[in-house]
Amino acid sequence: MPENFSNVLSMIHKYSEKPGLYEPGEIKFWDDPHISKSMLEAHLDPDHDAASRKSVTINKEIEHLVSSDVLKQGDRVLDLGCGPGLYSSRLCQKGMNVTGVDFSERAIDFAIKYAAEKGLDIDYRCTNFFDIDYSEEFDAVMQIYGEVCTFSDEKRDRLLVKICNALKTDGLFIFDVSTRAQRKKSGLKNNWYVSDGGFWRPDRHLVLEQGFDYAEYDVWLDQYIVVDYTDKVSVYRNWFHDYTPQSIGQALENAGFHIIYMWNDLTGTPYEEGGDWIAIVGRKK
Amino acid sequence: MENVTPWHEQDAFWETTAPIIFTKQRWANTPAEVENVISLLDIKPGIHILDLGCGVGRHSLELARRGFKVTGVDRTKLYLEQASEKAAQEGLNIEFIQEDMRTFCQPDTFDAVINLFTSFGYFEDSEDDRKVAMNVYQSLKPGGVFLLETHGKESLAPIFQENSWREQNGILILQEHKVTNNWSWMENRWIIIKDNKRTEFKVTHRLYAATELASLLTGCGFKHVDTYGNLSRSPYDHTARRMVTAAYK
Repeated sequence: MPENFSNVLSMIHKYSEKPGLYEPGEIKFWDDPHISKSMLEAHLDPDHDAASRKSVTINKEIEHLVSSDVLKQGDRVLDLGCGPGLYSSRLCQKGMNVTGVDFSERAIDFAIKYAAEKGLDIDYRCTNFFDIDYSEEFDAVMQIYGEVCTFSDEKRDRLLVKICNALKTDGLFIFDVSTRAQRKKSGLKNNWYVSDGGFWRPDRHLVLEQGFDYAEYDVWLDQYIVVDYTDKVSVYRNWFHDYTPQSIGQALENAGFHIIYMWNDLTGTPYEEGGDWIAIVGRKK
Repeated sequence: MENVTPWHEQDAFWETTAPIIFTKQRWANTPAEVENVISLLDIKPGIHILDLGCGVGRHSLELARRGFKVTGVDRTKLYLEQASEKAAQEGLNIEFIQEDMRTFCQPDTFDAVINLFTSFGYFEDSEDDRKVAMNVYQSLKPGGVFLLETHGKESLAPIFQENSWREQNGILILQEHKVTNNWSWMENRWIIIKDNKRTEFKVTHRLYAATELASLLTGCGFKHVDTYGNLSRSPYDHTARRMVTAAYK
């Protein structure tokens, strides 16, 4: 046991207290060389829903959006949070003119390389969503797999305004949000493990996982305390604001959208209460 | 090397884990727990209660404050010293006895016996559990009641996790949980990290289904057994997170 373990314990003590709402953990951890690699691997695993949905689901979602005329050949589409381009690539193949934006350099690098290999003409940009400044350029903006849920109300509203500005009149915002029903199942539970190399670190480390419920705000925190073999303690926080049709409807209304479609997921499962997701198409007023 | 003394007979275990077991939060919850015990058992101040496995006297002290005559029994001397000191400070007259529950027996003495907070089933030999239940039965006056609050198989299964952790007062505790012997035995590994020291204990105890515990108790002579899902008398159904058993002599 190292000499300075009491420092480790005092950090763990600090982090295991319930943090204030949206109190950040390590910033920009998606750019950490090891973590960004793990994330990319998770995105690219076609058989898991960890970071992106499974390939079969993505294909079904796109088929549904095209067959229901939400997305059409020739549309200019902005894929916000495109990651390694799982949706962007497929949309391009369907004849859409796609711009993909993500803040992970590693993901964008992969997407650019992949597009070059496959001869896909996609405009990829490595930038923060909040720095985009498009004006009436797109027929549709997509933000898939609960990205909207990761923002505080204030950030979400700022983003919705940016999205609204980026859309042409009658342009569509296509996205999905998780519900409390899902959070009850997938919200992080108290757990710990020691790993010789895994998602968070390439070498030996201890992970203390814990979930915190902010029920009055429909917010949940998945928190990971990671103790390095060097005794460095880091805390990673993933915040999730879950929604109801009413709460997301209100936010959209305020930002200048009205809902034209609502499903249980983007493959078009008819909406029923109690589902894990709410998939929405909002039209710019 | 495996220590041959069972965990529950090691003073070191109870001393090391005291700050983790008796947390501020649990002290704060005590009055409400005692309120529930009183209401569940429908008992009035003045009667004589045995707190079997009383530990540092969380419930004994609270019951004495409310006017009950209390005897607290525990195997850990350190705990009883702390409990007695608190009682003396508050001027409460509580009898604390250091004895193993397998041997403690005072025939026809108590109106109620309580055993709370998973303090039953520690012994490897199931015959020892029967001995404890028999001692309780004999120590109760006719019409007396035995209240036992613990994990049941049914209440544990839906929330069972292989690993769990907590940080308490600067102590990190990492636990591994294993269910063995066809769900009849729980094997826990407690890794306790305090200051620069790492201590490990293997903590084991027996798991009962509600009906198994009820048969054990009726086998000792108890006339009637009720089971609840918590101390506030929720039903022992799929939502139960504790097993609370009230057995009447």
